[in-house]
Amino acid sequence: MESTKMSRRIFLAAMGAAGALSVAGVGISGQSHKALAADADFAAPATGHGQPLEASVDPKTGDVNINEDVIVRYSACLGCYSSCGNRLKLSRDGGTLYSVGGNPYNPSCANPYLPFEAPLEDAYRSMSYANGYGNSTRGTSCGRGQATQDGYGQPDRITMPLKRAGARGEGKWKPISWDQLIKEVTEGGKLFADIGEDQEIEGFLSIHDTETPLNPDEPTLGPKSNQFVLLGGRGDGRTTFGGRFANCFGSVNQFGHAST
Amino acid sequence: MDVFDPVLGNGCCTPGAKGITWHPIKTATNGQLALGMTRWIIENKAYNADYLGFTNYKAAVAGGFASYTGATFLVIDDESSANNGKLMTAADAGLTEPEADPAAKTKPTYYVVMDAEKNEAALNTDAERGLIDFEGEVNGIKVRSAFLYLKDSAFSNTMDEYAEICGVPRETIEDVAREFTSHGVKAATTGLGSTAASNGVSSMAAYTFLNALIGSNQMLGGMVARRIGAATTADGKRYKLSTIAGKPALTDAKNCQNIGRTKRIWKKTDEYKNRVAAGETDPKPLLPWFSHTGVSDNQALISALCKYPYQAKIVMSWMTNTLQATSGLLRDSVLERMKDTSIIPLHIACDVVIGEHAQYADYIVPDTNPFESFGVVTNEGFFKSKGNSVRWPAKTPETIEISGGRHASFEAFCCDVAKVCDMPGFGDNAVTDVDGKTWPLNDACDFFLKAVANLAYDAEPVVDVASEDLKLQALDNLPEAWKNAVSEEEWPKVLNVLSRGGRFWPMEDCIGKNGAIKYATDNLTHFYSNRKATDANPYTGEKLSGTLTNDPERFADNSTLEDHYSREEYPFRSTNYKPRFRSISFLANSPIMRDLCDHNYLELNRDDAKALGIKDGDTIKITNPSGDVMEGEAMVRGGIAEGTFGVAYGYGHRAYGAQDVAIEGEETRKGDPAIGSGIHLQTMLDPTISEIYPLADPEGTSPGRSGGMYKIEKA
Repeated sequence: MESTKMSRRIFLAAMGAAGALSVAGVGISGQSHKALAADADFAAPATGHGQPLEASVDPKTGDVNINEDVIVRYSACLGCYSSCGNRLKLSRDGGTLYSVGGNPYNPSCANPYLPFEAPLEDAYRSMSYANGYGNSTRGTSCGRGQATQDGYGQPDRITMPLKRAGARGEGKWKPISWDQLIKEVTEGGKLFADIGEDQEIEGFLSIHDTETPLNPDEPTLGPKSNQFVLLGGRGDGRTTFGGRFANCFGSVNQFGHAST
Repeated sequence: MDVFDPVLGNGCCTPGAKGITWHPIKTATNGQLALGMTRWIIENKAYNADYLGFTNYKAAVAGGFASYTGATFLVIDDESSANNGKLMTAADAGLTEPEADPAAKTKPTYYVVMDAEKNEAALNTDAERGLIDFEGEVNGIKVRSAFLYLKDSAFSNTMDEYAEICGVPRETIEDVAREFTSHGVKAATTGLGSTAASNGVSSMAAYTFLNALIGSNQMLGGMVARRIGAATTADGKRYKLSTIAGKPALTDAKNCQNIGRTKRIWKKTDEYKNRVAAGETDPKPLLPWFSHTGVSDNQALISALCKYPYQAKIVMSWMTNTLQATSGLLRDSVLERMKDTSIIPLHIACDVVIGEHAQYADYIVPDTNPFESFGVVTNEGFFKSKGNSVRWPAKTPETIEISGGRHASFEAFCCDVAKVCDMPGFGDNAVTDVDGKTWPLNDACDFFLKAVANLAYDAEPVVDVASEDLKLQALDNLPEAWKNAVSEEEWPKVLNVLSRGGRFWPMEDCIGKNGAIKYATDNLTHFYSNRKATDANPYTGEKLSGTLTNDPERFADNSTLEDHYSREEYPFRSTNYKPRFRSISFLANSPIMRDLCDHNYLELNRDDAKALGIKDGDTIKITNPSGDVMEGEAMVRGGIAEGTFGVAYGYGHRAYGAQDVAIEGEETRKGDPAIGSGIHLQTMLDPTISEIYPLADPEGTSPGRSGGMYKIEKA
């Protein structure tokens, strides 16, 4: 068998006929995560590198054999604004994300979708070729959803607080501690004196006044606290937290993405 | 299937596909297409007269529908009345409203109709059916049914004129209108968002109106209610997450004003009153005000950049990129203002990467990414049943660890700032459960797991998580803080919902009585809006129409684009769409996405390209009247209407990894030009506004991303 020249489709079919098949086509054992793979480059399964298989399903009996080193968790996607579900294949310690797919319990990913009561084993089975069980509610996510793993996995991730270390927009930053971040943005002051900027900047504490009008001549504009503006939010299920913060601070200025 | 689209994008639908009839409609003429259909529907009495006659929800439901309209509501058409142009009230008609229910939270609004049976004026709640074509006097005041205003508007143009405006044959408009009205309530039109055209407000109204003409709102097979979920981050079954003790009593457009200048009539601002009091006649605002639209992020950013109507002293941009997403704002003159610390004195960005907004921030707060954050999501309308997706930190956050065993995130930032400022709603005793017990809020889990508990207990509570499922997802190893965020009884049910990534009710559950969707609520479509009718353009004083009108694209003072620039010189309109391989402002940093499509194209119709001497693959130049130039690769293809060019939105980044990032203590991260490849669509500026102000809907604030004026040349 010339596996190196075998097309991906033939390979999968052959695997199906041969016996146990990887689940969902995302966890081909040994296949490294590549941006593009020409059919001719498609490698036969190997061990020792690439991502591990999460489970195998016996196509005749539907028995699920789960790799205990790998867990599959179901969550929600943020690859665009459509609020679908997703399926995250992870190392058991939750430290490594191997791949992203669709959630078979979520109607945005599968139709029909698995009932809430169906055990997780059914979710593995539904994405296999198991006779009578499989391939019926195969949860899928679109390319954008899957690309989130790639986008968020890039090394330019910001993981610590940064403070501007040059003129605004110049792209120069310095890492600061969390405590310094909170202290400076709340207390304000001459925050950029170290780079020669003399401007006194009002922090959250200074404008946290929910009584005094921000403009006494135009009281309907609201109190000083309304001069805090939060841009960000959509139907992502997280926005309510931002709304709570803005409103409790004393501002009506929280804006979702709706008009852009 | 009939598809009206100036640009068939992403291969979802191709002109040659089976069963597809493609109509290359002119960009930004959806509202006019709907008006043309409305004219045909009214002329041929193809509307559902039975349905339109119902005057209230109860009567409509008894009649087999699940919504009602304001077709029968009477509008005052009498210059001698102080309320001319408004919907008639009980007081106008000399009728008496029922005593208000002292227990009710909101006071019902009553309308006056001409009772079809008794032929006399009545409150809409007292009549079952009213006349949709009444013209006459009530209590000595001349009135007309609201439906007649829509009729007048639809009849203001002939079918041939609509055909000309939309670039769609008259027969096609007629055929589609006939088809739409040939299936009872089993037809629907809908759209999302602001439609991103400077006359988008009419498109949005059109979708609703067409459904209302056939009575399909909230009917199965029609326009069903969508985004149906449980009360999760609100006051739910277990926790009251929206009731916050001590929250400042501020209401937008009442005792407070959102900076985006919406929800208020210009003449009702303090600024207008002060300027008149100071002797100015007919003062004009620096930037437009919009009375009948919701909040608008693009307008909020423009306001902040103009310090109008007030200065935004602290701007926080979170998981967002309003600069890049607002076509027309990502330009040097705007970026200069972003750099100016006297305009926005403190700009904090919270994100995982340095996008266009964060590039101009003073501080960047590291955020959790979507695999590390919580969210209890209202699902989009892709299915008709009920449910919510739940996002939860399936992997350990990579942001730094901070106090209390937490990781840096937006939520932790909010909690810590709130603590310093001694704000309500955060810290100790911040959340109250349904039994009156209070709970702390110091991190995301304290809030969102309570929302998950609300979901788990909605309707019938879910069962506890199965022990096998617990083991399969390693749910026994979750942080202790999560377990402490809810009660012991709730925790196993919360875990069950987490393990499914949400909770979805069976599809069959959506089936209600008499063909209605089960989740139907009291639903009214107004054909005549008081809020619109009582507003006027702030620059010309011209009154707005109470109903759907034939609106061409307009600038802030209601003048048309052609009033200022020559259509001969700038014959093209832009049609932008969300690409498959980017997502508005994000995903350009994914190498996989860039491998699939490394840049976008300026997509042209074959005949237009031929006339311009442009071949597929040529470099071309597109210019708008503001002098913005976009240079890119032409793609000459089918599926593009004449007179427009297609462009996928989400390309042409200036930051987001395209720029160099120098962080002290590490080597400079060199920008990757591939992230910035492609063309960012640049919308023209509004010449009637002295400030930097991209073309936007003068009523609805939507940015003029589609439409506008452009000329195309070979570069």
